[in-house]
Amino acid sequence: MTRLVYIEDAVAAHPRAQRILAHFAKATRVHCSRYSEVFNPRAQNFRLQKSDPALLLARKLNKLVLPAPTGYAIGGLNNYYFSHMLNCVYDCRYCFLQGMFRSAHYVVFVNYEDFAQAIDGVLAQHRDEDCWFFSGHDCDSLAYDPLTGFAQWALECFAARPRAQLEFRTKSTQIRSLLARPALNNVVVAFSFTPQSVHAALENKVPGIDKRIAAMLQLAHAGWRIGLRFDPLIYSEGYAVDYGQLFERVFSDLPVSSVHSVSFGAFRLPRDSFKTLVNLYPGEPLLAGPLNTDAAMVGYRDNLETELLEFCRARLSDYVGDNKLYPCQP
Amino acid sequence: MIAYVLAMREEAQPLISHFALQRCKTTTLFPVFYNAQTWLTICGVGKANAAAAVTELFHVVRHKRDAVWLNVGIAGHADLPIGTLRSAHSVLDGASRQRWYPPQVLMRRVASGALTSVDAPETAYPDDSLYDMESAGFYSAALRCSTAEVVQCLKIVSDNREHGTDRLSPQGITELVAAQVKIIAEICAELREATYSLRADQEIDPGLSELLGKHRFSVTQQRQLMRLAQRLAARAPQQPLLDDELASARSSREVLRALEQRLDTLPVFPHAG
Repeated sequence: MTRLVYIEDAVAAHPRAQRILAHFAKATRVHCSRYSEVFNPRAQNFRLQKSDPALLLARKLNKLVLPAPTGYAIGGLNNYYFSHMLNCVYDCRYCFLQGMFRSAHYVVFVNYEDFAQAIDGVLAQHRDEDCWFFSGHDCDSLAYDPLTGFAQWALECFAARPRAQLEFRTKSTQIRSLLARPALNNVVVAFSFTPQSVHAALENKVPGIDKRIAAMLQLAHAGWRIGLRFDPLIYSEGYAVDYGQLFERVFSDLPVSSVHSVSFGAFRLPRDSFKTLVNLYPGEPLLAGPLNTDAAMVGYRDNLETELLEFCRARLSDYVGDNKLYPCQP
Repeated sequence: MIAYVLAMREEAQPLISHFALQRCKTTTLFPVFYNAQTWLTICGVGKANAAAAVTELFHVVRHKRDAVWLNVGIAGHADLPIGTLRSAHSVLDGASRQRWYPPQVLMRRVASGALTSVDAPETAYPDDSLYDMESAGFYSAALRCSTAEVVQCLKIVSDNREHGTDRLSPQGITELVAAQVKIIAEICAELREATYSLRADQEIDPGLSELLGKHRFSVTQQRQLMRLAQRLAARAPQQPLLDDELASARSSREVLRALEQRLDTLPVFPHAG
């Protein structure tokens, strides 16, 4: 239950901000000049804030669309990401977002129309070529959708821009906006999964695996292209059984023809993010594992990582073939 | 630990009584009171005094980094009823126009409001804000001592347009604070619990000091030892740090190697299976 909403003065009258605020009639409203005054100061504790994050309504002023990080691609050459939101309603202990922002508050940038302009700018740079736009880099694309109305806007935006390919990436079951309209063939809805033991231990507040599979199947049957994201892969002594069972569960009812792409990558974090996470959660076993902490990208020691990746690649290939498989290694 | 900063003796007296604080005998610039868990200083009126008192108390408590810092006191507001308690979700320095936003994540028991820190008593109450004279100095200084979630300003409305400052008496101020002492103490206890929950994860096996006393560790090795002990506690919480192999290690290097080897024998992801 959000008790406090910070509102940038510049968006106080924005219709989307008003619609979101209507969901929080009882929340205290605090006006600010820029969201960064609340979000960015030092001496904030992400872990304490995660227990009851506030909401910030803001306007994204620049860098609305950015080149996607290496290893993000799922078949396209021109890859970009944009974030209508910062931070995630879920609380996954492996997530790099914990180490990225000083605050755990949710920031929603309500000026979606400016994102559309920025997307047009990118498309103009790549005449006659498709461009991919990933919307789930700094947040879960759909988890907050009933409040933000992001999916409906994005679908209208991308329906009018056939050269632009959109990926929603989610662990949620918030798919009403998608089911309410015919499927678009330039949109991929990508669901992230980990095995049950990892889900139970590390994915706080995330809907159960079966619920997510059910949502995914509904979309597949409605004609939407489905992405599967097994990233991060978490190593355990029983990984072969755990991932074997997970893949079987995910693919058993899913028509392969609906699958656009399957990407996978071992657990990894930029070294600075890893250090921040260790400070926040020193008692977290995942962070105390056999990791190569000297590397710029902290991950499992080479032999464990290779073993895990090779196993998963082989198994996934059995289900979808190699041409839909994308390793997400930086 | 909780550190209270209050402007006036009349505001402080109910807290001093409630927590049975005794006067600190060390010579200090500002009066300091304490018990085992709670420290309180009376800073006098104004933001410069408040900032100076925070700084001094930080040194008195030996630079303790995870304390709860609270500025409690009276404040004016245009129309809130006298005696209303509010936490500050924003603190504005009326002179410099600098503004801070104390996170309210742990302040579930009390409604919040804007707070403006002024250099002279405000009797016109121009905005929908509480008005005091210390919070900007307190907050800017206390923010350097702890994490923002546990640095808070709690204000009790003492005057408004109907009931001006001229009707305030020392006895009345004490009664206003006294009426809120119980809830203030409860809020503080919750804030302190939050800092404890963070610290619980940082606790290290007592065997660590034994190892540090027995062998000579360089600064880098000490850091390595701390993290290895932390990793061991995370992955095998039931295992004591000290075992026969560590007890018989002959050097710091052997200790570190033995710990690394022990970690290698543990399950990688203990939640699985």
